[in-house]
Amino acid sequence: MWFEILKFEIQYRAKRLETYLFFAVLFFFSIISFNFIFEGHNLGLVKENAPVVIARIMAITSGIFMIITSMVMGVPILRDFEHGMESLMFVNPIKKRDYLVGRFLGSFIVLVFIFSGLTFGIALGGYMPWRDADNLLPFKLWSYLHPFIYIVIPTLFFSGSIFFVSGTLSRNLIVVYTQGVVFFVVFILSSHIDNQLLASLLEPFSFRTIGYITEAWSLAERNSLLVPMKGYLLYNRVFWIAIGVVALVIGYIAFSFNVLRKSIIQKRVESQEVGVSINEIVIPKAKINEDVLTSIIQLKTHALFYFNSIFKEVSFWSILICGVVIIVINSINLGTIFGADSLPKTYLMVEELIESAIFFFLIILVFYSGELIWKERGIKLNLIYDALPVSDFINLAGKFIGLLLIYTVLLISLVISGVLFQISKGFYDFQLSVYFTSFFTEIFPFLVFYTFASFFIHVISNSKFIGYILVLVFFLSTMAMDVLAFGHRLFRFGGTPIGKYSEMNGYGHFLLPHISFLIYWLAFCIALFGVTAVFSIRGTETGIVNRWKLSRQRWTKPLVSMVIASLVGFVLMGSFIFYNTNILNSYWSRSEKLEHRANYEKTLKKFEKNLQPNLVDVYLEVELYPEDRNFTVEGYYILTNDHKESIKSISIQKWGNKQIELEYVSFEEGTSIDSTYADFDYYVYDLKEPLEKGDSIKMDFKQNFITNGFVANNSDIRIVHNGIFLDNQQLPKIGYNDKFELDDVADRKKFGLGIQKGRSKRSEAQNSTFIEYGVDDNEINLEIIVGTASTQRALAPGNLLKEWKEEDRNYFHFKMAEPMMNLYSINSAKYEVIKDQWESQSIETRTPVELEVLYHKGHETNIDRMMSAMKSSLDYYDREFSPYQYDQLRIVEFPRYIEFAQSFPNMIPFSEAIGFILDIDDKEDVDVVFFVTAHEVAHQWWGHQVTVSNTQGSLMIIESLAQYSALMVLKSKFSEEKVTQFLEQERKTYMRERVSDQHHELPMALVEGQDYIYYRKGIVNFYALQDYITEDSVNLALSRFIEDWNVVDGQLKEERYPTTLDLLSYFRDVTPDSLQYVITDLFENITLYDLSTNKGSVKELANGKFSVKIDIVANKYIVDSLGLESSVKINDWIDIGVYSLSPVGENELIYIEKHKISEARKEIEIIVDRKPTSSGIDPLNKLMDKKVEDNIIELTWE
Amino acid sequence: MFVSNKYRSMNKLVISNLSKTYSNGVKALNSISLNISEGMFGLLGPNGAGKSTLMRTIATLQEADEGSISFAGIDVLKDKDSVRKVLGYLPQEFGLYPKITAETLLNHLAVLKGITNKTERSELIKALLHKTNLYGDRKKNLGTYSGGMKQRFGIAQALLSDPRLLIVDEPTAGLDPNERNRFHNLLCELSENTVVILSTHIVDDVKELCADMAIINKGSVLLQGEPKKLIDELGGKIYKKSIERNEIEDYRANFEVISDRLLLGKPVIHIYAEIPPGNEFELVSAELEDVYFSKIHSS
Repeated sequence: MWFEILKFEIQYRAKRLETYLFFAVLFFFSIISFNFIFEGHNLGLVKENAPVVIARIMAITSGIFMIITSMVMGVPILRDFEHGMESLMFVNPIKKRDYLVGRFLGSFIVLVFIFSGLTFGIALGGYMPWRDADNLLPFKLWSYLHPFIYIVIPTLFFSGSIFFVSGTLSRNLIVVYTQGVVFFVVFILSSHIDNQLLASLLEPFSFRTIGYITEAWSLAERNSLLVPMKGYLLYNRVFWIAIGVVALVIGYIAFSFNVLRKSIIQKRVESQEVGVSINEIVIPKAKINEDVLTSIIQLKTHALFYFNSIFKEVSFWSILICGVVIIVINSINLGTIFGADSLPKTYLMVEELIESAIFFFLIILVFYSGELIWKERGIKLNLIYDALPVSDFINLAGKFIGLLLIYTVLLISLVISGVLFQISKGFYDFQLSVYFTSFFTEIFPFLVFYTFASFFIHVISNSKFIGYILVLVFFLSTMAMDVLAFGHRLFRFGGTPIGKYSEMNGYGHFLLPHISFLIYWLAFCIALFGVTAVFSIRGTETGIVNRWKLSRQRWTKPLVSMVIASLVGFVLMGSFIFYNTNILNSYWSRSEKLEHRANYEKTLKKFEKNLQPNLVDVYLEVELYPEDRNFTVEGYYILTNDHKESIKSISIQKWGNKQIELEYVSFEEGTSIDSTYADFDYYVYDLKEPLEKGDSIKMDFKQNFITNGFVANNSDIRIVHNGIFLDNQQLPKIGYNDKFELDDVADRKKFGLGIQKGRSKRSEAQNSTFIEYGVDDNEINLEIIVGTASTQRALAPGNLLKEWKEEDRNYFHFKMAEPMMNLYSINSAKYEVIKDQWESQSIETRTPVELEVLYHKGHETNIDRMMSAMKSSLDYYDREFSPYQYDQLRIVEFPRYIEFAQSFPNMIPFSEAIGFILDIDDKEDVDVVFFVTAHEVAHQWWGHQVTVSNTQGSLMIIESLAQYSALMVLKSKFSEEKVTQFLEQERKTYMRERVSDQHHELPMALVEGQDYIYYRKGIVNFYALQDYITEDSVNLALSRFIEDWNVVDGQLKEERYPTTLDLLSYFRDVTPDSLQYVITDLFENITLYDLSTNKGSVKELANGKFSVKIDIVANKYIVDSLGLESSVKINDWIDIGVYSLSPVGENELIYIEKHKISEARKEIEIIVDRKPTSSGIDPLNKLMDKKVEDNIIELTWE
Repeated sequence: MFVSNKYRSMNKLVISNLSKTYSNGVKALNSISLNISEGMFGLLGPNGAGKSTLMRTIATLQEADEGSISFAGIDVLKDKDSVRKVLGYLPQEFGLYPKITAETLLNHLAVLKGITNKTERSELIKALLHKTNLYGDRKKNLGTYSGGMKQRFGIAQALLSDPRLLIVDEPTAGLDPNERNRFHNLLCELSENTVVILSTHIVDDVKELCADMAIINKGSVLLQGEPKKLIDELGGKIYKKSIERNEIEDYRANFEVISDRLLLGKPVIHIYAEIPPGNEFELVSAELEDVYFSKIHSS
């Protein structure tokens, strides 16, 4: 019998359109799923169709499309109730078992069919034109089937079981959908669990579980192995299948064939006796109004009615509660940097709340917009409703406003929870206006627009399920268009985001375009709403053709006027936007930009090696107009020919920003201009007289930055109303600028450009400096006069010679006493200033250095940390390396649109986001502000005292040494635990990012652009170096290195800048022979270890001491230039440690010594004085160990 | 008030040549023409005759392919809003929000009908609840209502706006005899200056209530007239006989059998005959039912 029911179910589904529609949705989504899921994630050298990648796509896609599972599995029993079939069904002689089993299995088979679309879609996706065959492995069917069977089907089973049971027992579809939300909450929650086993187990879709179990895989393994069903993944699948089984059992027991259901909670209202005779009752006449006021009252009543109907839904509250749980958990990590949280500033709260809540808003939007459209028809009240004398517009608008009221309540509760969170953190600067502005001009309009769209789609499609699917498709496609920046924003539904809020600059100049787009789309949506109202279903004519015929008489006058008025508004606003973005400013689509950059390289690359004079003097008169976002720079460059040959022409490259114009460029000796490459803003000036070796020439120029209206994309974030951060990159540059070249490998390939040439080999070190910051000149002399608004203060490097007011503007005259690198910034804002001095301990005669922090009022929290870091750093570097070369050192705050700190000569622009608003808990956190400051101060040595040649490894000298220096300052001021804590984060980041590198990993001494190597690995390896050869030896080597290679005294050891070959030789000089291998391992090779402790025992000796015996395993690997790991014989000094409980009950390292490990397996015996608890190898993780969790083992007593 | 009364006296529903074919080819209305004046109008027909389609079309919920409907000067098919303002409609089948009370929903519907004065509204609702005998249950959730109570609620809502055109589709289905009586009384009260169209397949309903009626089947009007006259026309032409069960087919072949029904387990047939058929047939006084069956039978 059950088989008959199963057959019936399958046949029924086979005739339903939505079955195929669901399949199609999954199929088509799967085709783009790779790009959708991994867009922006770097897979590194892992192939795009590697089994592990396919498995993860399948895992997460079966999660994303849980809604389809719920639509398929929630309904089989529910359907009978909805169609009023239950009485008919249940009187038949069907056994409960047959009925349930048949329906479940039938639906499940259909579900598996629907999801098989994944397999086909993902496989086909690999052959799409935008995919690159170089990134793909040959097709293997099993790579697709294996995860489908082991990952997807179990997910479908447990979720399907739960949906089936909840649909059967609750008989309410919304309850079913809500469960899908619960799964997502579990998915998100599980990512916050630190315990890996638990996190892997609880993650319902096993997307991250696959990530965990393949974490330590090498490249070759990733590209070949199927994800094995064992360990965490096996537990995970078994756990969730078990939950599915439990759900089915519960459902089976609880299901009853009785048609009348016993409600658990039933409010009993007794009938009252009414002592009135019916015939005596006269029905009074009530006045029926038709005026405008009546319409308003009706609209209000409608809106409140629908609002209440949602507000009272259990499902609504369960979505809400899920949302709150997520938000509470997420908000704990506000703007975290290196483990330290930011202060719960309102704008951060808003960003965080929107990010966490948006998903739940979307769920509410999608579900309830559909529910409301279908509300009357769902319970068959529609004929009564439709015959009421209420206009189509009011009917629909009532539903619409009802939903908006729901959003409003949610947003207000978000504000309240944000404020409560702030209070809980002891933060009382609530800035309610920021809450309301951000919520009600950004997320609220977004919801409004998509609700309009959803209403339209539901009305037109006239099928609840198809409507839902189309709404989702619409959402995903508009989001995809946004992500891909596809087309002009005028054609992208919904408009622009409001942009970041900065305390320095408020909403800045982003507000006007944002509001313009809001009005534009609102007008569009209102017109759309008019159409929706006219096509809304009223009565029994549901066919689209009939509704089209009917629509003619439904266009009422007010409705027509409304639609026409909004269309006029739409066109006007669109024209206004177009005028701003495309006429006042020039609009380039993304592909046009890419093409321009590609052509730049194709056309001009050949001039890169043309000899150009070097910059030696820079004099600038800068006028900043922050209120208009304009500036002008007028001044001159003095250029000198340092080459052996004479120079006949000079090329000037204007910065790429379209708002910049080069008013004039002139050379005193006279030139003729060649504008062949004007399209690229590249001008060649042919000199009348060639510039001979050693001669100089003066170049006068004026450059303007003009803001007119607003631009469509990437509005300038450096020239703002408060917090200008202009740097010399934006000034005219001499010669070809390789910054304009395309850097993305795929983009380059698309335009037929080969792989960008990496840095030159170290042996080719020329007399050219470090090019990373666009600097390839010698030291320059700098003088800048900068004028700004009367309310602001402007900054540039050097001594402030003079400060004055003129025509209600502030002027500042800066001049560098010493030559400096051609790298400087000009900042302007309403600054507060705090000053201090630093006196050198090593050279008593030098004048004190002026220290300043210029900050935005209200950002005082971390000023002391910065000041103290500057002093400690100057102390340490001045003592250990060499004297500080400038007379001042300034930290200057800039708005949080850019998140970094950058070290210019004696000036450190520091982002609002990373230093000023961090809330450092000295117990829990590493003092990040201190560390970042120390790092930037270190660049005054590594970068500004030692300049490097533009070769492989240059960034190890600049960045890794700055990391090392900062770490040593940190170590001198903070506890060992803080240092270890910090290193641990850096080590993890390195291990994580090295597998997602698009390029092959390079050894540190050859590092190119990979920041996970020069920052993360750099700090860990330098820590290991000083651990092996002592801090003093490292510093001795570094001070010798500076002595020989600094640019301050004007005497380089050789006629070139140094490379890592030079640096490493200084280290080798201070390293004993026995440890020379350490330098090779740390810097010249990519070395990995796999260290673990297998067994550990302890026994008490007769003399009261303890003997600890551990079995350690130590494997060492070297990774070659193709990313392949090979095992090498170990013969290394490695820490062995023993822990004991301290009197206060904390684990304390009582023994740590380096042991020579020369076998992969070894038993080690250690005698300690105190009673030990655990022991193991490399307890402080100084080496790059693939897995650190197994290093320490609890000791057993013999 | 005077003006409104004068206006009211013009209430008249004229349906001419109304046709409707569904997309699946079913011809639901086939050139229907009816003239309906104030008072109760019975629309009699078997299930699937097109009654509900006709009712929905008059109630502005469905389109016609051809023909026209006008009510008191309003073109029903075009000017739907004007019709809705004077309309009370009780559909054949409907559901109610299970989780709100009768009072709340009635109040909500009253506002949507344009009764915005709070006091008037609550007086009206109170009266209607009493009239439909729901007052005692007004605070109960509609989900707990029995079929009869739901039907009474439907009647209450149809009467909210003091309609000039009241369309009730199979209103007494599910009501017990008491409730049915009460409902009939209510309709009679209302029908004084209202056009009331009552569709039903129960002949007695029409007999008891309607001054005018039509019989439709398969989308066509078979007959329109006053029930009494129609019965009179059949006077002396209806005969009945009690027969054995196996004889039915024979009789069908030889006589114009218009109905058969069981009495104490034995079939009793009614036949139509211009002249007395003899053969133990016994003349009976015609009933409305005979009119109905004779028309349905011959169509």
